Amino acid sequence: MGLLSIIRKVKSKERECRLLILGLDNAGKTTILKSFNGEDINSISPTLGFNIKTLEHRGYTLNCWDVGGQQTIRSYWRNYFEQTDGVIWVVDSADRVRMGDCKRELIDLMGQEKLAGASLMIFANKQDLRGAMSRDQIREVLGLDGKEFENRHWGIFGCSAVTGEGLLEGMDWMTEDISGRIFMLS
Amino acid sequence: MVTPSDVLEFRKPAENFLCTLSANCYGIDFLQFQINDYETKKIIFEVGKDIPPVNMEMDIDFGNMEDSFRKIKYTFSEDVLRLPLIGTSLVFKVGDKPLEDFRMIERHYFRNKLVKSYDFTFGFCIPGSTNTWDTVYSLPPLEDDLISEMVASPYETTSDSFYFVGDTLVMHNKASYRYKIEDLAQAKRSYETDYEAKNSRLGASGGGAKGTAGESKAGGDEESKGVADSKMGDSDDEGPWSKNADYD
Repeated sequence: MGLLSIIRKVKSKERECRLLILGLDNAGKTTILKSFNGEDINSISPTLGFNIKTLEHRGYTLNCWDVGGQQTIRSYWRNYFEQTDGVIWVVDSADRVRMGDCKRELIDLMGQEKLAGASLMIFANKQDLRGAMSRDQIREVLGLDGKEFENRHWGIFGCSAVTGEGLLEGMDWMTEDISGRIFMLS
Repeated sequence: MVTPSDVLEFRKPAENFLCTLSANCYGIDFLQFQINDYETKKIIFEVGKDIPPVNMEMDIDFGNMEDSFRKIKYTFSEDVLRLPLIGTSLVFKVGDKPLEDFRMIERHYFRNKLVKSYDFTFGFCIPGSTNTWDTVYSLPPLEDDLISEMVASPYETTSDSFYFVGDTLVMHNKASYRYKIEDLAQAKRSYETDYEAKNSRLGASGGGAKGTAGESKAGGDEESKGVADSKMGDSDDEGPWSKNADYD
């Protein structure tokens, strides 16, 4: 987030944020977005591109960019970094096998210069599944208390896109964190 | 050559199509379009490759078939003019070439006067991807007089949709609109009957974070109008509907 774009936001008083929703395939990114928006979540298929969704939340307009997580698509993620205020990283808490991949991709992402100022909110999704790792276990396994994250505003929330539990808390944290940084002058 | 800044200056409908069908060398293809009531999620209008169109027809000109495919007549419930928050959803796919900077500009007119303008930058599109764009328009209450006039004047509300890749116009479509009067004495709106099967699923599903849409809708409007005005440089022509969703 460059100084110019901060000034632009303050000046125009647009209470708009751009959120980028990423994570491995089958993490539940699209389902979270639809569930949060009160939409039908029974017929969701893998995202082979992007889903852009505008949400009105607590007086803010959240422009959410949910980009597919399949390996072949991940190399295109960088095309969506520009002007991102917040990254929502979605984890399938029951996918223990790929937790290493998940950590590697997250750390790689957070090393990207264009995302240097973005807030990071992690959804430990699928908490309704038996065998899901807890929020604290995921915090540990992703190494969130390590040096890669020490200069980052981050938060982690357990959630279930299916029951809706935890989604509001996570989105509230995200909106508040971004507004605290960007809109404080307005 | 027509550029984005050119079409943002337009104050009346374009007389002709400003590019040929073959300008779409990126294989951009619209798969589905939906209009819904953002608060209840009820479908008001839907059209798609596998969805038989209801309330929609092409303006067939047998002397010029190419243009006929780009001129659509829609019939919408008058509720799209009256509901506070309208959601739209567009699904499109792109061909094997990446789209570097995809952008849509849509100009809406009533009786040749500009009433609203949308400008949205998708940015990059992944080769071979299928993409969904859902957005929400907060409509400040329109004057009843204007709504009545629009409802009483079928197909005098029109729009030009321009699609650019970078500065190059790759698609231009035209539409005209007729608004169907809702009989308030009926238990259901016309679209509730048209899309009954799909709409009835809504109540049964979606544990979701309910209520978030309702409790959070205040505030967005004036800001986005302000942006639109500064971008347009001519707020008088903007009318009360303007929403600019430009991310550049």
